[in-house]
Amino acid sequence: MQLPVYLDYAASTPVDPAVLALMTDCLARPELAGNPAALGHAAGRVAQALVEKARAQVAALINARPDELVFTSGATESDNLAIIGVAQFREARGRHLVTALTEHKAVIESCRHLAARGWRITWLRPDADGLVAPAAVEAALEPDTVLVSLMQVNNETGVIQDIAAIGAICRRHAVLLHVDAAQGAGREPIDVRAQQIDLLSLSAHKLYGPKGVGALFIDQAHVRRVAPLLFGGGQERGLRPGTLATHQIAGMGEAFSLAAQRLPVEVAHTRALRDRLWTGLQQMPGVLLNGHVQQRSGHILNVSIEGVEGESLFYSLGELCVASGSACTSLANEASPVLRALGRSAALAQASIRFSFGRTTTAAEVDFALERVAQAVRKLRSFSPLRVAGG
Amino acid sequence: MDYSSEVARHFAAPRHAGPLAAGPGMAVQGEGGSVEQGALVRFQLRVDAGRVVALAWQAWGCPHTIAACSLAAEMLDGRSRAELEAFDPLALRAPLSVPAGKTGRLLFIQDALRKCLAAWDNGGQRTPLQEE
Repeated sequence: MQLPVYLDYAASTPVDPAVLALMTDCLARPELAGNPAALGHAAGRVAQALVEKARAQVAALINARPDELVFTSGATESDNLAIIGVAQFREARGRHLVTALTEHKAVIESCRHLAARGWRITWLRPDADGLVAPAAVEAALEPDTVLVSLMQVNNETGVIQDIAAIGAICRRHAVLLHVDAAQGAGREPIDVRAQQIDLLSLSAHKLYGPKGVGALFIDQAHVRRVAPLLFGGGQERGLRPGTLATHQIAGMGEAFSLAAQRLPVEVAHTRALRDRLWTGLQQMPGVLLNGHVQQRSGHILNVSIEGVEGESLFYSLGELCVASGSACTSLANEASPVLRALGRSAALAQASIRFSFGRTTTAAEVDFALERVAQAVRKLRSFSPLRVAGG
Repeated sequence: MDYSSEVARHFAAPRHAGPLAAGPGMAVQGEGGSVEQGALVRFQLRVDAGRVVALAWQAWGCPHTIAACSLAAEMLDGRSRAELEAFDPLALRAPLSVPAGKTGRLLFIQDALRKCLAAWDNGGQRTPLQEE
């Protein structure tokens, strides 16, 4: 087993060797170095073909048409384009949006940007398991609601929202639904037609593709247009101008194609690892699961640990690469707002660990993580003034 | 966050950590901070003939807090009451490279020690302190 042990696949994944080979080809071979917009010569047309092949590969994973995808720099840009682009284009119809407190920062901050400019935002609070009830979404809709934005799989807890039910509600009320699927695509099945999703954000680096590239699905029948955030040469139907990065887009396409092939096997693999770790962690007193026990993705396990402080817990883990709810170990300056929205105290939100598993994670690595966490907790509790029931 | 080598040393092997062992003589205890304030510190001292003859601490806090408790305990072991009263936990800031934003954690140690001194003056607890 190689150290450090990486269990942070929800943050980013290593590039798949097949993806890397294709990207290297795109960068190194002169015949692939053309600008995809330079259709007047062979190199440009070859590059364009690579881009369009990737577009079809990405579309296939979510059951979309290739011409409904816009390539972006990643899911953050896709979220911004979806939310701000829809709000601005549909401003005359209404200035009200619905989202949840547990959304990714890219959604939260896009909504805050609009709120500062006069839009009204309804912030839904999930239940203690992290689920947003479809009925709560319906109750939040107003005559001037133009968009609902909810994520498929929560990036911290792994909780899966009932997107199909929410999609049906939105369609019935003629309100657009945007879904941030950066964490879920390729790890849980998603079908934009069956689930009646109008806009969907995707990221390549969460799925063994390169960082710096993503896509936004825009349903042509229901959305038609959004206002662009960038202006320039008219690429991507004017919605995302700028020279297309052929190597990154081709890499994303290959990564999504591989993910589609491997999805059933990977779901079973990561779920088994997650359950192995959770079974082991439950042998310690005072370990609490964050998120719904059933309705969650197989690749994420998030727990809070009583009686220990988050920063010291994280520091004790040494060569174990996991994500922490501790403010001092992340770019945020507060304990996880997602866990706070689930009702966890600041102390428990701080003393949380997110383990996330990938296609190369082994049982030995999970066992190493279990032992390392147990050691850290035993030590910190040995001089903690806080008592833990059963400890 | 990066931690100094001194913080790493104390965190790896904290001195006098845990509840005070049972023993003869007068035992006193004081706490500072709270979970809501980001750190909770408890010091327990056994005193005899005007001196600290044994001490221990418990802490729920960041590595700087734990290292500061460890270093303070190391410095105070065997000291007189007057030396304990004169002890300034802010002096721990430099050796541990405690960032400015965490200086308040050192004051929790001061609060705990002041409560120990007050308990000492009030006669403390004659029976040995037991782990809760």
